[in-house]
Amino acid sequence: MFYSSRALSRIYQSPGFLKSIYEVLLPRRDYINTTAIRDFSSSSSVSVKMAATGDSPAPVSNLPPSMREYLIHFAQVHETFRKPELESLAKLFNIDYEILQYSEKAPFARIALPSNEAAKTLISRSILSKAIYELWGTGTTYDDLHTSIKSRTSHLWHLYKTCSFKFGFESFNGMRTESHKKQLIESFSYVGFDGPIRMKNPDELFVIMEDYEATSMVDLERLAALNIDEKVEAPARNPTHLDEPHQIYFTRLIGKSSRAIIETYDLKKRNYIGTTSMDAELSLVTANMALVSPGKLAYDPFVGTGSFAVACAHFGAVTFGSDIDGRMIRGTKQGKSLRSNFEQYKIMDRYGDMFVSDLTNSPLGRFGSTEEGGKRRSEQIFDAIVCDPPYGVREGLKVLGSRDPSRPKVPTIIDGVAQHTLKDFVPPKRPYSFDKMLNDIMNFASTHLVPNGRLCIWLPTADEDFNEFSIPAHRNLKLESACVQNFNKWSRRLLTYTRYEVDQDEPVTDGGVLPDATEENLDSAKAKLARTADALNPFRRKYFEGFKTPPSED
Amino acid sequence: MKLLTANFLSCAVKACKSSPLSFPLHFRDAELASKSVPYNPLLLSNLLPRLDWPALVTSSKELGFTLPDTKPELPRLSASSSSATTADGDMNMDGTVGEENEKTLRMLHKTVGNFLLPSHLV
Repeated sequence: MFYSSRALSRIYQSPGFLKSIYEVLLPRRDYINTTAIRDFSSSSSVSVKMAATGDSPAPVSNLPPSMREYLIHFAQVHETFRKPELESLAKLFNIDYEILQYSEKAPFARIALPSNEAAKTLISRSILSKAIYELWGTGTTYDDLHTSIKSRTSHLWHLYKTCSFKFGFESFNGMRTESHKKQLIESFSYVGFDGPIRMKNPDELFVIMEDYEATSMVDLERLAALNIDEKVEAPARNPTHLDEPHQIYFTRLIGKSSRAIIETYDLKKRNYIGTTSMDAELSLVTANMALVSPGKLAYDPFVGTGSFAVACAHFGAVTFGSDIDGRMIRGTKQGKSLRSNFEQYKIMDRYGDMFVSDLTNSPLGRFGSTEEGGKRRSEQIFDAIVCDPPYGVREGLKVLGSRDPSRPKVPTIIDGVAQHTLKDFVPPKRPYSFDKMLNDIMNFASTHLVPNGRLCIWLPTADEDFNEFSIPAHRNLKLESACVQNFNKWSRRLLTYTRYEVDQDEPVTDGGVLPDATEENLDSAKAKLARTADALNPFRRKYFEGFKTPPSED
Repeated sequence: MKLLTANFLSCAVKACKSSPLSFPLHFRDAELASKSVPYNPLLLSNLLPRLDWPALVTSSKELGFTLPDTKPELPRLSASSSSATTADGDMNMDGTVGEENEKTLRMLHKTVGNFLLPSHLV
């Protein structure tokens, strides 16, 4: 039952179905000064334990000591990215957390965190959530909700007696009339807030949240009991959208997310973009997954028009980028260049540098002096590598080199002039296979990331003929998450890896020379080159070590 | 092209990567333009351990200004130091490399360095 509803609900859960916040004035009259009586009869509540500080609501769930309970209001978009983004931010800010309840079918999730400060910090950089709230109570009906609120928060009510405030309403996959909302808000009058009601910038925002989406029910038996028939032909409305909410929450706003900056970086308003520029929302999410933060160094080896570079710089990293096509970086029109985007967003102080280079022959890395006075090659430079490499599905991938592997390795000389010394020389390029490119990216990330640095890479999940691509693996890179973005006919995913602190299962090499793809001899290079002609055939896929079978969607 | 970038780059020719002469690349006929950036202590503390100071000193001399011979202590570093300096405008950079003695001239065009290689060096 639960699983059969998935395909249908996916369609109905497009962003447009999410109702925007409704703000309703709470009438000041009709206040009853209820004496708080803690009601322990509330069925769902476990033993109600007061938090040690006494300034937070008693938790709904069994929480570890010193943890408090919060509700995160997510955006109902890019569902598979939401949890990994949150986990990345918790890691970035070093915040302990425990997800208590989460469903991809609904925007409301419950989470345990150590403090309001931690909650505020965690959500401050989130792109896929809207805000975080202190959870005052929850119930399957309004009666349950009120019981829950009274039993958990009556000791807090006096704190909000005189401040200005506002009540908000969030309904997911359902709606109410204004008069009904007003009526419902009035039913909360027992909390006895006497302060002024402010529509703009109230001291405190309280929000009633309702979930009408049946498939987000945590209790599967309850869902089964509803006996929803999704196979009705041409239903008047989505059968999984209930008439009454199945879960209601009452919350107090703690902190807002960074979701508003999506508009700031909107591609439509960006000075310079290309046909494959990544949209602002997912670029920023990618930067979050890469744990980019002030003072760090980020690099995009397929920088193009700089979507990721801008997103990484927004979050404070000094960003470097390169592309095999310098025209993308420089731009073709006056005033339209990658650099101009940094100027537009006033983040030039985080413009590391951009250069023209090919991943297989990258200049990054050096043979520098060591503290002891010796010389050694070092390549660990970046805290984050983010990229959306060309997929090569429609247009062929290209890499430096001659098409003809048997061609002698000598400079081309015409009329006594070595052609590559000319100013307008364009180096020849040869076809490149997708698998080989992945292999090179993984090797590059392994050698160029600092310990615990992150690699974020966007890859298609299947080509036009629905041949699944596997998830690339590397012994020095730990896969953290795989998030899927579905399109009409295809999909792509964002893979996030962490560089292990030390190289795995490999003898430490002498003199610090790191083994990489550049060490191969000419013969093996030629042999590989010959095979790249049929880039995506099964033989090639097997050839590269560590490629696994793709995981199922769950 | 920035001075800072030059500290991370060596010759892109594979055969040169094992040679100490592939780093640092040398600026030739370069025109220096500098621009101040806000003091960023977080960046400096992250960046300093990753810099090759002697190479930075070499590069700075090629561009006509001097840096102290020893890596400065973190707290004392001011905004005017190396990482705050950018080299702007058209300039040429010349990578002199290992025993192969292959001299590859790297052009900088509109501040964007070009490290693509002709096919005989790939």
